[in-house]
Amino acid sequence: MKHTQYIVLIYSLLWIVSACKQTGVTPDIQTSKSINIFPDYTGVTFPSNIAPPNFRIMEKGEEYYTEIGNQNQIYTRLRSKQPSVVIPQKKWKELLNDTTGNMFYIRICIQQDNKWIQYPDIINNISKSPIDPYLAYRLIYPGYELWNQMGIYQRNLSTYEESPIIENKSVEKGCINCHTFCKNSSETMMIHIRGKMGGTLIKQQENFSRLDIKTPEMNNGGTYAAWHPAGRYLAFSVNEIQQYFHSTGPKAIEVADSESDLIILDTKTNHLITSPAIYGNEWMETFPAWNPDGTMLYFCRSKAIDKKTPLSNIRYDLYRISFNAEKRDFGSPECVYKASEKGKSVSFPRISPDGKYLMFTCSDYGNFSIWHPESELYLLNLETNEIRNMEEVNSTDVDSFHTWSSTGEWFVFSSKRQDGLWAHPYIAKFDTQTGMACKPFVLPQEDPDFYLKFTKTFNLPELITAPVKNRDQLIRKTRNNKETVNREVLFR
Amino acid sequence: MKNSHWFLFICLIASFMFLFMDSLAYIIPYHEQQELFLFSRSYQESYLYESGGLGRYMANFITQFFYYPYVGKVIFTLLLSFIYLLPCLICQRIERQNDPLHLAVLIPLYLLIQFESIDFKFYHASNIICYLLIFYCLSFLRKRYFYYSLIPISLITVFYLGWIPLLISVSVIIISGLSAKYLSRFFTDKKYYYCLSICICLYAGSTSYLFIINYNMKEWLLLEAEDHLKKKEWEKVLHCADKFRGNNQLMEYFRNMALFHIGRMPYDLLKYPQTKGVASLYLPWTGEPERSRYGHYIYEQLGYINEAHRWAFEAMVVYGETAPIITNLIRYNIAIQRYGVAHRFINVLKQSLFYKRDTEIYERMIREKQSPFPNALSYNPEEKVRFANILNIGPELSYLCDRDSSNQMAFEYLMSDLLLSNQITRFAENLGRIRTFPYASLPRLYEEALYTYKLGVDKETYDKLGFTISEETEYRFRTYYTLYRKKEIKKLKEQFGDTFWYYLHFLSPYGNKIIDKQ
Repeated sequence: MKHTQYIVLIYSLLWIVSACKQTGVTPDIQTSKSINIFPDYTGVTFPSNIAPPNFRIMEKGEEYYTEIGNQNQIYTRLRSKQPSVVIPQKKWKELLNDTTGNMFYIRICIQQDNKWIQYPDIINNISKSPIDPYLAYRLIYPGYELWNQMGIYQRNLSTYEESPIIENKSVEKGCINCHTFCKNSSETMMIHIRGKMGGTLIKQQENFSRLDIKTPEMNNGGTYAAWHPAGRYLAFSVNEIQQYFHSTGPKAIEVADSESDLIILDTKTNHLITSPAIYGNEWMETFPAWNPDGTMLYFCRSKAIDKKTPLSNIRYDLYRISFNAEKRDFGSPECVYKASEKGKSVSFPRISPDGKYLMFTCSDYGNFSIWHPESELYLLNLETNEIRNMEEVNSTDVDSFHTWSSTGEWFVFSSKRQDGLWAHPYIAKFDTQTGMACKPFVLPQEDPDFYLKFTKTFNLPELITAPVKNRDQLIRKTRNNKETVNREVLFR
Repeated sequence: MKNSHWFLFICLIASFMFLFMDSLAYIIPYHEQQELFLFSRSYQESYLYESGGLGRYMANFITQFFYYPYVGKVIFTLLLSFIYLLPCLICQRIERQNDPLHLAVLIPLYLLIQFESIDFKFYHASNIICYLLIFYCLSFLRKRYFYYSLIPISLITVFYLGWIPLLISVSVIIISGLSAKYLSRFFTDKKYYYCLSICICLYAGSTSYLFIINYNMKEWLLLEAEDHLKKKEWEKVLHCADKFRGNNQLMEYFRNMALFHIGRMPYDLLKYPQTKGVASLYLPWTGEPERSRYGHYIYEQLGYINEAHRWAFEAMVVYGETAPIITNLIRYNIAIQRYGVAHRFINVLKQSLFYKRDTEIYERMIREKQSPFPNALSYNPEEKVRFANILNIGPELSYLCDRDSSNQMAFEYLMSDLLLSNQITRFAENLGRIRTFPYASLPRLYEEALYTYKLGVDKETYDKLGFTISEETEYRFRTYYTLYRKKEIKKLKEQFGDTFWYYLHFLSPYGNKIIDKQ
C-alpha cells in the first residue's frame, strides 16, 4: 500500500514536470510569408551580453509556439495563447554563451483554424564582441517648455535593471539635462541642472563640483558639452535656443539657435578658454566633439542669423579646429564637410574611438535634428574623406543623437521610427574595418509591449563602461551650495 | 450607551452624504480626474518601491471608481465614517467599553475640513483606514498579543503606507482607549447621554464653523464652470460666472467662451468685467505650470488643433497621464493625423477600467480617418511654413479668419480682441468679414465701436467700409457724450456701463486712447 502511494506520487510529479516542459508542435502548413514581430528583432546582430529581446507576434492566432535555438540545440520552447514572447533569462544566457559569433533562429508557429502554420525562421546573429554594459539616458515626456518629473537613468544592458543616476525630485524639481561622459567612463561626467539648484555638476572620480558655466560678459551659458579625452577640458557650446510652433500640420515644433559659440572649461583651474575663431558674432558654432587624441575639436558651424532669416535657410557645416592642450591655444578653423552646399545641415558629430570614422546627423536645415523627420545618420571616413548615408540603419523618421561604444564596435542612437514622437534607443553593430553597420535593434525590454505603451522619450542615450556610483554623493554635492558655487570662472 | 457609537456613525454617514451630495460634490470628479489608475505592472511598480507608495496606489485604485460620482460619494462617506467607527470598535474590543467623549470622531471631522481643499490628497484618508483595518483585525487577538503585535506590524507597514497615517491611527486608538479606560467610570447612563449630547453639539458646532470659514466658494465655482464647459452646458457656465464674486482671469475666460456659444458675445461682452483686457479671452502662454491644463479649451473650439495640442502636451508634462489629458491628446493627434502617437495614448487608456470603452471610438476614428474636430484648421503642405504666436492670440485669430472665413468663433474673438485692446482702426478694417455670417443687423458693440471709428476718420474713409450706423446708436452716443461732459459718472455707468464707449473711457487696461494700427 505504501509503495503504491509513492508510485502515484512519483508519477504525479513526473506528469507535472512533463506538463510544464513545453514540447514542439508539428506544423500542418509551412508558409513563405515572413512573420511580423514587435519590436523588430529580425536579421539583427546582438551583442554577447544583451538582455533577452522579448517580443510580440503581430499575427492573429489561437495559439502561438516559439522555439529559439542554434544549429546544435533548442534552448527554449514557448507555447501560449498569448502572442507575447518572454524569453527565460537563464535560457537566453545559455544561448548567448553557446552562440557567440554564430547565428540563432527564432521559429514561430501559429495555430489558425486549428491548423499550425509555420513561418520562415527569423535568423539573428550574436556577435563575439560585447557592448558596454550600461546605457545612460534621460527619461522625459517629450514636452516643449515645461517639466515636472524627469531623471537620468542607467540601464544594465544584460538585464532589465534600470536605476536612477539622478532624478529631479532630488534637486528641487529642476531640469536635469545633457549628461556627458568622458570616453564612456562613468568616472568622469557632467550634468546640467536648471532651476533653484542650477549649475553644471562635474564629477571627476571622487571629486564633485558645481559651476555656473557663464561669465558676466557672456550672453549664454554652457549647453552641449564634450569631454577632452584627457578628462581635464570640457568643451561647451553656449547657445541661445528658441522654439517655434507650427500652426498646422503634423510637425509640431522647430528649435533653432539664434546665437551660439564655443568655449572650453579647464576643470583644473575653472578658467574658460576660447578664441575669436570660435566665439564671435559672425558665425554660430555648436555641438563640439573631440578626436580621440584631443588635438582637434570638431563642431558644426553656420553663418550668424538675424530675425528675418527663415529657419529653413539655417544650415550647418562640419568644421574642426586644432587645440593644443598644453599651451591651451587654438589653430584656425577648417571646413571638413560643406553640407550647406548640398542643401543639408550637420549636427552631432561623433568620432569613433579609433579616430577613423565620424558619424553625424544630417537634416535639411537647422541643428535640432530630433524634431526633423528627415534626419539621418551619415558617416565620414576620416582617412579617405568619403561620406555616405548610413542607409542600413536609417529609417523614414528621425534618426539622430548617436554615441559610440568604448570599443567603437557598437553605437546607439535615438530613433523616432515607431511613431514620430517618442525617441527610442537603437543599438547597431559597427564593423570598424569596412565602416558598415548591421541592422539596428531597439533596446530590449522585459515587457514586449513596452514600446507600445511607454509615453516617455529616451533622451541622449550614452553607452558607459560601468555604472555611475556615488549617486548619493552626486545629489549631496548638488545640494551643497557652499562648496560648489563660489568658484571663479574666468574668461581668457 | 453601549451602542452609542453606532448612533454617531449613522449620524456621520448622513451628514457626510449630504455634504458630498451638495457643497462638496465637486471634489469627487476632481480627484477622479487627477489620477488615472492603470492595470499594468509598470504602473504598479512605479508606486511600490516608494515610501508610502502602496498607500497611494490603493488610493488611486479606489479613486478610479469616482468615475461614477455617486459611487465616489458613497465611498468617500463610508471611508470617513469608518475612520470614526473602527477606533471605537477596536477600543470596545480591547477595553470592553466605549470612549465616552467619542474622541475618534475628531479625525474624520478634521479630514472633512481638509478635503474642502482640492489639494488635499485622497490617500491621506485611505491610508488611515488601512491602518485602522489592520489594527481592527489585530484586536481580535488577546489584549497582550494585540500590544505585542502593534509595533512589528507598524514597522512592516510604515514603508508602504507612510508614518503620518500610522501616527494618527495609533494616537486615536491610544487616546480613545485611555478615555474609555479612565473616564467611563465617571459616567452613569444619564450622565453619559448628557455627555454624548454635549459632545455632539460641540463637535458639530465647531466643525460647521470651520467648514464654513474654510469653504472656498471660488474654487467650487471654477471647478463647476469647467465641468459645465466640458459638457458644453454654456448657460450653466454663465450661471457659475454670475455667482462668482471678484475678478478671476480663468472665470472671465470661461465666461467669454460661454458668451460666444450662446450667441451673445458681440452684444454682452462688456456687460461683464474684462479686467485682463484681451487676456480675458484666452490664456497667454507664460510658462506657468498651473495654467497648462486650461489653455487648450479655446484653441480646440477655434479648430486650432496644433495649439490645443501644444497646451495639452505641456499639461501632460506637468500633471502626468490623467484621463482628460490623455483623452485630449488622443483626439488632437487623430485630428492632426498622427495616428501612431494617438495609438500610443490609446494603449495607455486601454489599461484603465472605465476609459477603456472610449478607446473603441477613437480606434474607429483612426480606421475610418475621421476627425473629432470637423472645424479643425486643415493642413496644406504647399502652404508657406507658419509659426504660431503663443504670446498673443490676435495674429492667430486673423490667420484663422483668413484660412477659414466661415469660422464664426475666430471672427467674434478677433473682433472682441480688437475691441478689448482699443484697436479701432483694425477693428473697422476687419469688420467686413461679418458679411459671411447671418447677423440680422450689426451687433450693438460693433456698431458702437464703428461709430467711434467714424468720428475719427473722414467721410470718404468711412464710406469705404460700406456700413451704416443706426440712428438709435447715434442718439445713444449723444446722450453718453452729454453725460460724459457733465462728468456724471454714476449715471454713465448705470446707463452705458456695458458699452464700448464706457470701456474705452474708463475700463480698458490699455488706457482711454484708441491704439492705432500696429
